[in-house]
Amino acid sequence: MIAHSLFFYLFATIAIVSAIFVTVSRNTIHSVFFLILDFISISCLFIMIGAEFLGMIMLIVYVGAVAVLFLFVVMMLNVTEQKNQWFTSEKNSGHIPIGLIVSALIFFELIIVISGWKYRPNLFNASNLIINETTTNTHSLGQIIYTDYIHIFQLSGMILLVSMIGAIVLTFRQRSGIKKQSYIKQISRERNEGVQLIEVESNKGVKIDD
Amino acid sequence: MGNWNIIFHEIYKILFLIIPVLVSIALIVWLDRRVWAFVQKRQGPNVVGPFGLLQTLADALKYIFKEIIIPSGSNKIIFILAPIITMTLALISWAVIPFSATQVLADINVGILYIFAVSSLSVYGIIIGGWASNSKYPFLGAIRSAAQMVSYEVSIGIIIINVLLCVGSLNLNDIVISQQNLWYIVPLFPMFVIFFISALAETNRPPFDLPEAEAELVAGYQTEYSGMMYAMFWLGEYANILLMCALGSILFLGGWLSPIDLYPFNLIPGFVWLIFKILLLFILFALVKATVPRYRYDQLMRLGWKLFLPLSLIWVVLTASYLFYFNLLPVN
Amino acid sequence: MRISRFFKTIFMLDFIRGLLIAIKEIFKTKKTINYPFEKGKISSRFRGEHALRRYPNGEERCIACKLCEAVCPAQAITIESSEREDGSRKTTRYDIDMMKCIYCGLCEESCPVDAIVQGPNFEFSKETREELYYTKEKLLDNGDRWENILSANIKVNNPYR
Repeated sequence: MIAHSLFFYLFATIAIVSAIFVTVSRNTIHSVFFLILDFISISCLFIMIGAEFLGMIMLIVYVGAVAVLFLFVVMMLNVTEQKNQWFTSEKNSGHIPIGLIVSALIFFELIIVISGWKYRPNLFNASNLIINETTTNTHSLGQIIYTDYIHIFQLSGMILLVSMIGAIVLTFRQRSGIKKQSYIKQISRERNEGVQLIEVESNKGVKIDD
Repeated sequence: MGNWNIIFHEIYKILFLIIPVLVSIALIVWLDRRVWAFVQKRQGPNVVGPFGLLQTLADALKYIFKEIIIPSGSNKIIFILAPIITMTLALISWAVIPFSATQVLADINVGILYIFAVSSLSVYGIIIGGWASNSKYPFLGAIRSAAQMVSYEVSIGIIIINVLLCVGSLNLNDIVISQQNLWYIVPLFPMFVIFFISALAETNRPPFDLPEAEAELVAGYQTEYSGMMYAMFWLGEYANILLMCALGSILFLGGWLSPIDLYPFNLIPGFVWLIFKILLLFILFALVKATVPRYRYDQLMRLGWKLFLPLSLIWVVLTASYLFYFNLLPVN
Repeated sequence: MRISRFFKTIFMLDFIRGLLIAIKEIFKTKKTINYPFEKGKISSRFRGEHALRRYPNGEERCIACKLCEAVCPAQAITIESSEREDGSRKTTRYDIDMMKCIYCGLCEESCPVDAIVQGPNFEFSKETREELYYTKEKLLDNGDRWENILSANIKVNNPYR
């Protein structure tokens, strides 16, 4: 039990410290690396509370795909180190106070939500908290998502699909008048279409493609 | 005292897994080079040890005694971290591979997801190494491999969904046991082929070795690495290849099950069958390396996104509707 | 035509054919040799390591005419000569810088007495540059060592020169 809570505090500290470093570090790529570390420690926390499926999906989706794309974009843009850092900049940047106000608002909202949830009197004897020990985490998650919340789940999937198609439509432009390769045409060339064997008599030329 | 005993027991078990894996990597590198040479009518490494079996050991010794050069323009911590990440990630996924019904280090519920997550993390070793080198070719190699591995992970994930539809569990041992009557290579043969090709792309093997295409990028992300750090990249790469072979044999070839459930075959322990299947797949990997020319990058992307993704999605729909119609879905 | 192509692509028949050819090649005899243990055949005109030959009575053949020094395109040969007690002209110094040498064989062709020749030995790599500055002693020693093969080679090639 002690080991468990020790590990919890270890992962929680790593998560919070790396989250701070995401915003503080000057090099953009470093902050993406800290973001990855943050994702990994959060998925470790998920696994520690027994939500192994969520933890693994977090690793696959966020660390394996989303953060790779982040890194990809940041590397491609070649963002050099930022000169202005937080409060040490010479010019007064306008977005710091606005950002502070927004983050303070989010923080207070979180406090209100968590306190409201924590001190709800009948939280732990609610009827929806029957834990079946025999089914695995994955099964019980599927049984809830694909029965009670199927419409919401499918709807969120549709939203993602629509946004993906929208992004493709916005960036896709078809230029006319350029040469393009057709793979089908390349692959479907047979030997006897491309090669012609001709018996050439000596001292006489041969005409090709006349 | 009891706690220490448990810890020592675990360490013993881990060593008992990792040392055979490392030794088999050495042998598999030898086999790879040998098969490649034989197809090209060469001799291949045959001097060090019997049949040249110890060639990889000699190479590793050479790497250990070589100087590690760290470029002055590189980001040193991340530069050193990259090969460590690659090798660690390549080795930790072996924890969930079942060698028989009981011989598995960690029999976790979400074993297949664990392997998938770890293999999706292994992109970072390459990206970080390429970026931290602070040099053109490694950077281009890193960018290429990032796009390549992420795209082929998608099709591998959907192929895994195909298998999971038939099994109804994410546990690797359950996947093996559910193939007792019929290996999944029979009903899901097209998926096996696509899995094999995606595994080639996922592990940066020829014909998809674009991140290290020597004709274009010198050695890709490994260009600035030398000595033991290079060797660790190389070990990690081959550990990943072996892991993909193991995953393929577990998903489609019945893992540690014997091909026929008859008397003489039953006596052979499970891990022998698994190793046999891994070897079979690996020889196919080596033969493909020897026969197929390298893909161009746009062809690679087209193959991944326009061919494999739709095909595997269609096969998911087919499998699901077949199982649903004939009421074969593994619901409990 | 199109349909057969379609089936070939879908079932990857071309790929499978290539794979079968590769498997067939595995069992054929190897075209390479096992070098340090087996060696390929060397022509009698092979231009390898240099050697200075002697007459059968032990007298060195070289008369210090310096034709080889003059003809050497890489200027790898350095010769100094003087009169010996018995009145014959002999070399006091005959050096070949083996790193300059391009193994063209002109020294061998120009030599009027078949003294400087290029032998069949091609395995004389060294670890330092100093070891590759060949002196007269070294070259004469080479000549003594390879004399059998050298004289046989010269005899074989005699009708053509």
